[in-house]
Amino acid sequence: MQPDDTEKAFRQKMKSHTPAWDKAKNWDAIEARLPQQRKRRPVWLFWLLGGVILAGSLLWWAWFATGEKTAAEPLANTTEITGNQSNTPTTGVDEILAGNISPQAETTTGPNASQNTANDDAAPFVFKKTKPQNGLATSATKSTSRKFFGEKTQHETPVPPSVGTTAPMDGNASAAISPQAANTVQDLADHDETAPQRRASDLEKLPTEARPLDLPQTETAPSAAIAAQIKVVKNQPRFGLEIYGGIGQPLRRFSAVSPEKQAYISERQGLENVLESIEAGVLLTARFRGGWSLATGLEFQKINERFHWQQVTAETVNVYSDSAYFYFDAVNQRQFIGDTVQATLTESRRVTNFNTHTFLNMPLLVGFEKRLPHFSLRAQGGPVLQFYRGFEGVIFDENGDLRPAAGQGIYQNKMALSLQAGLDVCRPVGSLGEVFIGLQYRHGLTSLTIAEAGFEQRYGGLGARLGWRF
Amino acid sequence: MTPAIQQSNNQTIKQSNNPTIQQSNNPTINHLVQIEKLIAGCRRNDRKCQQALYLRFADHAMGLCYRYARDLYEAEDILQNAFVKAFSNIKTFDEKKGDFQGWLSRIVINEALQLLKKNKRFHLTGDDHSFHDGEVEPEIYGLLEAEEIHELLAQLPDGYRIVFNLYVVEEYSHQEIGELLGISPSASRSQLTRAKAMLRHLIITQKKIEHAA
Repeated sequence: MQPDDTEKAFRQKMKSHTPAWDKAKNWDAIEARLPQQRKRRPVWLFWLLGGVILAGSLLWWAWFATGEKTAAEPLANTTEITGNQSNTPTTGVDEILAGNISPQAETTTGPNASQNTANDDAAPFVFKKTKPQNGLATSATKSTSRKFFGEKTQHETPVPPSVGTTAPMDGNASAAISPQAANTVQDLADHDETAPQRRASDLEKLPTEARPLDLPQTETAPSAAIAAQIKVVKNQPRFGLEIYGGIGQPLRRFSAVSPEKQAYISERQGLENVLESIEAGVLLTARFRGGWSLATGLEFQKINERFHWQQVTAETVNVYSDSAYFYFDAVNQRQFIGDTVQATLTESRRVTNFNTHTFLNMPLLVGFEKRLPHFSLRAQGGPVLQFYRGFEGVIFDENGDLRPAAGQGIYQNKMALSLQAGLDVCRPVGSLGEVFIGLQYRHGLTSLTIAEAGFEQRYGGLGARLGWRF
Repeated sequence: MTPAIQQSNNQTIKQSNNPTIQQSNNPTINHLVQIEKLIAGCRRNDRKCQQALYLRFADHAMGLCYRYARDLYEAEDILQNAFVKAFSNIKTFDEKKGDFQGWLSRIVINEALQLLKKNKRFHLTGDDHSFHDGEVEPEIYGLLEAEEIHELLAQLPDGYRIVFNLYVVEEYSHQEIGELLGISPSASRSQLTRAKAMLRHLIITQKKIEHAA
């Protein structure tokens, strides 16, 4: 044997030699010295939390923050004076009290303008006066109310009739409309049928000296500008929240990028026998006039799949060669020295995959709703962004062995687009909101697999859902 | 004689043209991919991935440690240090420069050498001995079992044993050994020659004892 052969024999024997030792104990020792594992928080939870906070904020804004401003501010800011009236802005009570502006500055042109001037001595009377608009009477009161004759109106100081009333304006005159007038518009917008009656009733409750003199003329029809603002108020969307859950039959479409992949696709489609999904979501809905609505939110979806397939493995292994090296020992016995050659080991087995795919979907749906006597029908449709979070699964082979499914490489964190359409039946349940039940169809537009996978996979589905909206 | 499977060599897997193989969750085909995923998991400090990677390479690493250590306890110390260092520095591992096993092997060897230097056990052994026992019959080498070889090597001075291991088993060149140990290539060469002579002497001595018995 040459020296090189000696070294080779040494090398082979030494490299393959491992003493008997305790792997688990050593792992415990290693693990104790490794830095603490940082727990990964599920990202979808943050998405969901963010969505809920956003939805809650919008809801709060829609219900509480817009009540006074939506109607009042545009009116006060946009109405222009076009007549022969001085363009004096409405003066606040605080400014008058502070002496920044004298009551005389609150001049009003027209037949009763002299009355204002004549009552300069009435300076101790603190009042806030609004400009009349096309004959609408204004109340000269120190008012903190948001409604003209609403329940919150406070008349802390009696106002002399000559000050508190205004004669009808001529048609050319207009002025910046105060919040009180704007609230009148709000009244008209909300309850335009009952507003005159309520207003008359409220007037009767006022002290005689505080009642406007020209009451009949205040009930004239609103001007075109006010009517436009009424329309604006009526067009404000109403926001709502929907929570739903459901089950479905995923419809997955395969397509091979290359002809070589077609065989695999065909085989897999033929063997796939179970596929189902569950989903739950939250939607923020804005409802507009005429039954139209716009909804967006977040939806969590899980798709389970089971399929069988024939797994073929080809492994290159080193095997001993029985003819490469041998010698005869002292007793003339043939002894083999383990030299190796490469060979391919091929195995085939039937396996079953159980996989669970996880999605976070973000729909943007346009809806139309038709009210019927006892329920309403709603059709919704639009694009859905699908954020794929990968899959987890196990594989059984024909011997019953179980092992985790390998990796998520071809799908993980991919994003896709799909289109959705659905029909819901909604029914009010007392004052608690409405329950709805419906069907929806989703059509996958773009693929969820990366290019290296060699095939495209689009997820859609047909599902039923049950939800609540309020 | 039926060929016996010695070990799988996953580094030499050739991708099949069979689309089923390429696409499947085949454990063999995906071996390298799985190791890459385990490494990616280790980079995220994922404990399960670290454990899986440890289990996959622990035997190889222990064999390596055992060759450089005096006993099993010292080998376990080297192994633990090496894996802790590997997991701590795994972000510096570059797949393009070589496979993980080679990278881990270098860490293990460095750890072993550091331990020797720390304990002041590594020093070049002078030519204090002259072995003139004649030649060993080549067949004798083939008959030695791995454990016997290990016991023989354990009797060598540390300097001899380290150089012998690096050159014969790990297949380092004398230049590389010199850089690793901080000695000249010629010194490495002479250490190897003496190591072989002493090993030969030990084998002959052992055989003489066996014959006498």
